[in-house]
Formats: sequence, C-alpha cells, structure tokens
Amino acid sequence: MSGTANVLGAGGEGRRAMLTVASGETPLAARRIFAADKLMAAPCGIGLPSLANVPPEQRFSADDREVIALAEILVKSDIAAAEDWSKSERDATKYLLLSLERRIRMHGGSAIDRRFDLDLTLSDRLVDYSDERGPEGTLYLVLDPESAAFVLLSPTLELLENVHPYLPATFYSHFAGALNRWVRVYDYHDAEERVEMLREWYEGEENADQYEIPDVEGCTPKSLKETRLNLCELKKLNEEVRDPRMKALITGLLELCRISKQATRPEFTEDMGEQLMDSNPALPCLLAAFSSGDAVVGCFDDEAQTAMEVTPQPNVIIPLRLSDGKSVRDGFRTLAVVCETLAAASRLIDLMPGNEEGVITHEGER
Amino acid sequence: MNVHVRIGDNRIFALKQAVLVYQEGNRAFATLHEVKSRPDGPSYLCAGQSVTTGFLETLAKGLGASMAAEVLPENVLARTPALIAWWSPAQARLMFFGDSDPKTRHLNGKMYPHPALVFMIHGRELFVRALRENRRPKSNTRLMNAPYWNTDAEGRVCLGSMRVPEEVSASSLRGWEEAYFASEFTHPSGAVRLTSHRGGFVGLWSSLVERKHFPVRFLADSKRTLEEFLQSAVKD
Repeated sequence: MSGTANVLGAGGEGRRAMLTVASGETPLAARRIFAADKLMAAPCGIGLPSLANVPPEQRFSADDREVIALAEILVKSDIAAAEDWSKSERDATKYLLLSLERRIRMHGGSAIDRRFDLDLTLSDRLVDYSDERGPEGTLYLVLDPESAAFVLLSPTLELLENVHPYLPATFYSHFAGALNRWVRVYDYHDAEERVEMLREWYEGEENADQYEIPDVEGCTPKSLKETRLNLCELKKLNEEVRDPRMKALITGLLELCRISKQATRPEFTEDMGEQLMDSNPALPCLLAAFSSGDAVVGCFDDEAQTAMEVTPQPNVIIPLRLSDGKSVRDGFRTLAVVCETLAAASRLIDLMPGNEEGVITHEGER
Repeated sequence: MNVHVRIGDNRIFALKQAVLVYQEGNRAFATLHEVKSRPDGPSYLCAGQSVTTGFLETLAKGLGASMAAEVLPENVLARTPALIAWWSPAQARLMFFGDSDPKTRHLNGKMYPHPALVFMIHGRELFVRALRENRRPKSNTRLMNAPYWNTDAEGRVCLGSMRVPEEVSASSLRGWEEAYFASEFTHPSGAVRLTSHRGGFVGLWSSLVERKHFPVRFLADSKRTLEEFLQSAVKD
C-alpha cells in the first residue's frame, strides 16, 4: 500500500470506514480507554496528512557577505535579537528574515495584518527579476501590496457631517494624507483622473456616446468639497465632542497623523531611478470608496487590468548602506514608522462604521 | 505582512504546495494540495484539488515552454520554444581574423564570397552549417561543415565576446548573423575538417579574397542531414 493510502485509508479499529489521523496526531491515551470506547459512539478520526519528516523549507546560499554585514550591524545596534540566531539554525539569510518579522511584530504587525496584505522584501535590487542590482554595499527594504485593502467611507462621512459640516472633508483629507506619505491610496481623485483620461480618449471618436463613463462626481459626497480644518483646529474641535464614538474616530485620526510624520520618506536617488526606468505608478495599498460598488471601485478595477503590464514602482523604498551603520539604523527606524502608520490606519478603519467586512482572516484565527 | 529576503542568489524556498499522483495501471490523475504550517507542530497538507489543464499550462510556462505568436519569415526552417533554425543564401560578407596568427593577418577585414548557410540557436548557443546548393534545404538535405574557425564538429560556435542579441526570435535572426560575422575568427575549435581545400582553412580563404563565388567543392561533409542536425540539438 502506498504512503498516501496509509494516511487516508479506512481505519481498521472502528466499524465505519473513516479517515485515520495522520501519524503523531492521535492522542495515544484516547486509544487506550476501552471502557469509554464501548459507551460512546466511535470518534470521528478525520485528520490532515502530516508532513512531520518533510523539510518545510530549503535554503540556497551563495555569496553572503552583504547578508552577514547587515546582520552584524543589526546585532550591534540591538535591532536584531540574539535568540533568533538559534531559531535561524545559524543561517544568516534566515536570521535577517526572522529579525524583520520580529521588527514588524514589534511595530503593529498584527494590526497591519487585520486589514493590509503586504510584502516586505529585503533585496539588493528594486526589480526582482532584473539583472541590474543597486550599488555594491547597498540593500533596500521594499514595501508593496499583495492586494489592496478596502475602506468604506460613506457611513463615517455621514456620521461626521452630523457633528460639524467641515468634519467629513477634514477627516478624509488627513486620513488619506497621512497614509499617502508612505503608501498609495486609490481614491476619488485617482478615479477623476481616470475619467478625465477616458473622456479625452473618446472625444475624437464617431460614436462617443456609446461609451459609459463612470460617474465619479455623482458618487462623491458634497461634504468633501467643504473647507478642511487643520490639525490644531481639529484637536480643539475634538475637545468639544461628547459622543464617545465620534471622539474615538477623531482621536484615532489625530494619532494616525502624529505617527505618520515621525519620519521622512527616504530620498529617491539616481540609482533607484535607473533601476526603475519605464515603470508604472505604484500599486495602491488601499482602495478608499464611498460604497462597495461605486464608480471609484469601477475605475480601480478597470485600472487594475493593466497595472502590471510594466513593473510598478514600489510603494516604499528604504535604502540601507552597509558601510554606514547609521544609514541602517535610520532605515529600520523609518520602517518602524511605516509599520506603525499602517497599524494606526488599520485600527482607525476598525472604528469606521461599515467596515466590519474587509478584515483578513489568517490561519489559526478562524 | 509577508517578509522576503532576496540578496544575491541567497534564497529561502518555503514548501507551499504538493502534487500527489494517483495511479491505477496506465491511468493516473493528480491532486494539488496547499501546505499549511503551524507554529507548534509539523506542516500538513490541506484538501486537494484536481490538477487542471490550466495548472499544467502554468507549469509549462514556468519551464519556458511558451512563446509569443509571431509571423515566421520565409528563411526560418524550424521553431520550437527552445530552438530556432534558419538558412541564409550565398553572399559576399566581410570577415575579420584575430591578429594572433601571422598567416591570417593579411586576410583581415576583406570581402569574401560565402556559401549558403544554416544557422540554429538552441538556448543561447549558436550553431552553423553550410549548404552545397544555394536554396532552402529540405529535411533530408545533407549539410556541410561551415568553413569557419571557432566552430566545432557539431557546428557549435564558440561565442567568446561576440555581441549577440538579447532576444531569440524571428525578428532577431539578422542580428545573430551580423554578430557572427562582425566578430573575429581566432582559432580552430577541436578536431573538425573545415574544408577539403588542400591549403586548409588559410589556403581556402587566401584564395577567395575579392572573389565572387564560393567554390562549394571545397566544403567538407558533416555527415548529417538537416533533420539530424536539428534533432542533435534537441537531444543535447
């Protein structure tokens, strides 16, 4: 009998055919309680085939001078933890991976993962499959979305409008502004640009009327055209707000804005430009729409069809110069700010009504 | 957040999927299973899905067995995802010789008549053979050794520093031919009879300076037909 049949074959002890638990998963004690076995119905022994003796990963190591140099700086700077060295089985690449995962956990990883689906890559080049790497001794931390997160705005904006007419525009402009410092948010401004472009395309055509252009203006709340308060004015207004739900929203927004400004975006250097020549705009990390099927979502879906035709620019590029320990420490500090900004945004979206959906379920949370 | 480290060739490959093949006699089917990991136990296989034609196509694409549809010019003889072969009519071409051999120094940078040629690119390797007749060869046409240095008994060209096009496609074939003749012929490659001219390689080309026609009687037999030439590359 094959190994598969051994795992998935009918159980020999019960009268009913059933799937036996994979090796190592059946509690031995349970099998020995014969008295109970006679009193109770046979347990359902369905199990998942275990890969106990299969290595969960394979490592390929070549020239690891830069890997070791970075690991050394991280250890000396107390960014990496000594205990991860044994977990990495003394592999420097794995050690860097564990150190980055630890760093993200420390700076709001679980909050980020509730809403955002992101990839953080430590690499020697900005385009993964390119032959052209960055300058010798320079590595990059690159952040990009695996898919865009979603935030529904209308219920929040309507709630805020009841408190103060300027609050919807103020809330959204600061929310998008704080996030746009680091990652791309696709919103009604992008959709308006798309509509403008479509109008130009169709203008010269004979039957221009046959094309349906998404009605972005029609779906955009008028309240967003009102005056926007600056952060000082918003803080003052928050002191007067009595509704705890509203207060939590504004406090969450102020917190997001405070965190987002704690670092500045690293300079986009010439060598980055050379590596990213002919690239598309960055992929959005967040889609901000007024309702789940509105014109903004329509424009986003439309643009998504061609977003990957040319390599997109990364959302965040943090260069790490290995000859300069300060550059590495600054880079990791910037990463911490990016992570905490995303975590604050995720927490704020949790508070925004209508966003009960959109939470990403991870293994073990179901 | 998914974290990746990609520095140089260092990579950590995580087990993500498994294909299980079920067989009964000469019939078989396969299922594709996600691999899930647990922090406190071994990884396990999730329920499988039947392997679809789409999955096999994705695998084949990953192995390079896909190519864009393109209109083939008339001189193309064969095309697979890994190979392209074409022929080029007899014509006068400029030739360059390395200056390390004093016997070829006087031959450098002059026009010579050349026989019709068959080129083949397999992977990134270039092969060349000659034709006795100046017309499109058939599958059973006997091929001749190309009368050139830097070309071994199999017709494989030692590319050295030759600046060949990045791309292998029908539109880049002229670029490959030009690159071949724009680089220097520097040395013989292994035990191969390049010509039946009694003066050998140097004697042949010395006699052809500024001549109009290549005398095909001086070509040496490769002992292979066009079909055998193409098949030999596939087998390699």
